[in-house]
Amino acid sequence: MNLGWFRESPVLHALTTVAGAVLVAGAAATVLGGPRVLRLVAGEGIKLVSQRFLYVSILFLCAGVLLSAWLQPLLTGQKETEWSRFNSYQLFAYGAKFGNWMASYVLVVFSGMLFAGEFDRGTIKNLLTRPVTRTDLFLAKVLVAILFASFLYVVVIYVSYHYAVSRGDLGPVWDTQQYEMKRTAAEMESAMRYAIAVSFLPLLCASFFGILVSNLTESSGYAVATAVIAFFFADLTTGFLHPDTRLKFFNSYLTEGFEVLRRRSEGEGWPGFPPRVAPWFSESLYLKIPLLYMSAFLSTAYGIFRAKNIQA
Amino acid sequence: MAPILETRGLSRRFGRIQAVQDVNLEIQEGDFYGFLGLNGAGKTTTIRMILQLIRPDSGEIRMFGQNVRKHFIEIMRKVGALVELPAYYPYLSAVRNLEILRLASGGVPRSRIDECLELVGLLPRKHDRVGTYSQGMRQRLAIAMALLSRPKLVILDEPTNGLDPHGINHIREALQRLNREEGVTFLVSSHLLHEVEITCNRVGMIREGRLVVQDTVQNLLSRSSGQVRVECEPKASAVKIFQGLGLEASESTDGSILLAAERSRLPEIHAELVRAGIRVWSFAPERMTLENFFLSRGS
Repeated sequence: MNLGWFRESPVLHALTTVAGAVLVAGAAATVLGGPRVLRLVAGEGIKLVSQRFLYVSILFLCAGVLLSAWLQPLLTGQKETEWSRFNSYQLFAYGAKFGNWMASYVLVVFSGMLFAGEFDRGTIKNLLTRPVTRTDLFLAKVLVAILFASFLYVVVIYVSYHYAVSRGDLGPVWDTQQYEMKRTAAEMESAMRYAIAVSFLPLLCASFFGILVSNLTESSGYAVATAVIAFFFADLTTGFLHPDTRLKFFNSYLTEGFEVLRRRSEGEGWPGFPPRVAPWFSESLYLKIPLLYMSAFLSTAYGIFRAKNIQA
Repeated sequence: MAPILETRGLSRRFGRIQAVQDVNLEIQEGDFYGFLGLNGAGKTTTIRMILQLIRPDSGEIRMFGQNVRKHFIEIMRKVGALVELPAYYPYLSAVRNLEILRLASGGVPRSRIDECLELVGLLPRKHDRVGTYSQGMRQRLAIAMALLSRPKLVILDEPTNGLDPHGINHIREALQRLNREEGVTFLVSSHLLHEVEITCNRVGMIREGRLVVQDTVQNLLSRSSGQVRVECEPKASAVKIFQGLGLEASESTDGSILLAAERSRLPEIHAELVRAGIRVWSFAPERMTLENFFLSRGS
């Protein structure tokens, strides 16, 4: 497997930075309260798997991904013939783009309930009168949010990919009029990897946004409603912004990678991508912006949670 | 020996309301300590501060001889608590609810879950969703949660809320057994004064945020109630005599007369009644109960 593209690209820096941060945080958590945090994570797991929300959200997510990948080529007037099947990269981009967008809302709802739900039910006092610190509990909840976001992302990618390869071909992109190759298979594969790599951090960001809102109130219903409305509003408004301004908002990056892949699978996009890539890519904005938002959301949420008097 | 739980100058203000002021609790190992007070007197706020759920404005809390703030983890391994209303995950069974807390506590064997559920009488319903439980069953579950980690000190805020008389009796006996046989120390806030009287060996009474009394139940009950119950005929003449002696008398619902008088004056009063030809069936100082004491000092 040729990893040259990987070594040369900013994705390497992105992944190493994130991995480094995760490792440092994990190491710090392990030193400070590792076993306690892990036990709390296990407890959160019990709650998560016992809730219908998990299964309903997976079901909706899968349905959304499949529907989007199936319907969008039809809506754009594309047809399969005996000689040409759909391009798998295009189908993948359709499914993953919509799936990631849906997953971000699922995560906002889930994270919105994470803390506020404990206050709502009063179970926060049960947890905080055990031999655990508030930092342990906060870390455990964040870890659960990360694990859940990762799981949903894997579901989205897995379902989109398998549908795409079952319906289409993972080959080059052809110009059907002039019978020339517009994008090679290697170029497309590389673009798909980029898209997958850059779309995860914004998803985590959406989850941490939910965590922040969850700490602002002690009612889970209010927290979820506020988080979803605020997120939807942000989603809507950034859509009207100038492309350069839009790049300052983390939610733009949720679907941008898959959008680039789609354009390339249709022969569009920045010429020579990669190695000449979109500005947001070359400047590592896809990494910097979500990381900036993530740290802002989490540090604020942590500060609020630490200072709170538990009256539940 | 250092108290198992001690607060020094504990104070907390919420806006303009001084919820707790300069509270100095002292609970010795093996105590069954009753924490009494009217609604809003500051009991729950004090308990929340002890458990670090609310930060005090000033004062120090020590448990097992250590500062709670500095040694929270170490101390909380030996403490179990139920604060105000029972809290649970309604979509989970009792076992699952306890499993989450078992994991959070660390070092508690899984078999302890069944032990606790048996102790509170919930074993037959352990796999049912807690959302389907009655209020009394939820209260029992909350007590099981507090006892899960075999704590040396148990803090229970209104533990018998929502329990029927049978349930109260069951829980009381279970807690007393733990106190007697395993030496578990209890701090129990309650409105059921009779329960406190028969269960606790020491009480603290809080009023408008201040601890007004802290003593053994025995000492409190040995104090005179300052009242005498008199059964006599004719009552009207007796009341006139009492008024003539400058005493306050009121007719009780059972037909007897309640007389407010100092113990030293009782022979004189009795002699006056006999001299006036009033037939006296009964002339007895009222026994001091915690309820009498609470009503006279707590309100």
